[in-house]
Amino acid sequence: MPYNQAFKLYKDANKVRYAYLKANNTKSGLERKIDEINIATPFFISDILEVDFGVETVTTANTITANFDITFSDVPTVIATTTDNVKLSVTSTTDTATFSASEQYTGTLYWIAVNKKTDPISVRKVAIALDSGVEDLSSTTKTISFTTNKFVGLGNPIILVSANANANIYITNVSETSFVINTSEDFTGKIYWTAFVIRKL
Amino acid sequence: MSAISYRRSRLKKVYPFVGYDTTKSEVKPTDTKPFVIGDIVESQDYQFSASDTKSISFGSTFTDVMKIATGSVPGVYTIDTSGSQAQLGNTFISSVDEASVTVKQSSDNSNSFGAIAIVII
Repeated sequence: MPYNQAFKLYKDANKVRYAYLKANNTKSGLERKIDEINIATPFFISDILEVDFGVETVTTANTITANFDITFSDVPTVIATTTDNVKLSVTSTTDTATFSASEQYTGTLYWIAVNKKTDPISVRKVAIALDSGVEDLSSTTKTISFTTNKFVGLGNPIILVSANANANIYITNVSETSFVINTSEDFTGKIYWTAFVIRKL
Repeated sequence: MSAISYRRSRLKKVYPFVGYDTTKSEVKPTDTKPFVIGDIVESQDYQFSASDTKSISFGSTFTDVMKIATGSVPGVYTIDTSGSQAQLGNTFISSVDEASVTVKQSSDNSNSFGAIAIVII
């Protein structure tokens, strides 16, 4: 494993392999060590027969199409979050999701598509790191920090948000450690959020 | 096997990741608490019928001890599925418990929305 690839997620098991230097007992130097750690428990999505997800870069557009990398057996439920104050609508097929924003914007669109089945015929095995929370908001913006080290080294998560009162919600400044919740106007209430980093195994 | 001797200038190059605890010369521990979201996700399209309130009972309640701990309440997320233009008002979660959720919109419109419910254990 090269030094510039400190973390690696195995293809067949959701372990992270990492390299580090550790002082040896002779005080003559450091030894390079390689170790592994479980970051999440692999699971078979028994009721979710199919799942896909993605992050789309949007450049001055109000229509964004995402192509699934699987063909769903039924049209999935697709939920998305944007990084700008736009209203979003989605239409889906078994192969694609088309997101229509109320106006053109430049930013990022995060989406997840789920097709739940009651007959677990076949499943897609994924490893997932996940965090969530409920935040009290009394203005138009709030910075949310993820649980310590939850996503560090894994990449920026996909984040879903919802509110308990009338507001258009969007997110900005997504990183491996935090993100910012924004509302279209002054808002007093609760914001629910769930963040995912998913690896298709 | 003799240890490799590293100069300080070289050490800076081989500490490329955030999760290294320099005070202990070891990688910071990562949360290994397992979780499953398998049987606890609901997803479907729903319809507002010229009203601002839609109550949804989950297909399977979230109190099943085989799935999650009692007392868990799902996060519910929605999106307008009206078509190429959003037709609904802002949708929001008026109330939610282990068995059902009430989704409201900011105006009375008749159109559809997608929703998923997720519990983390």
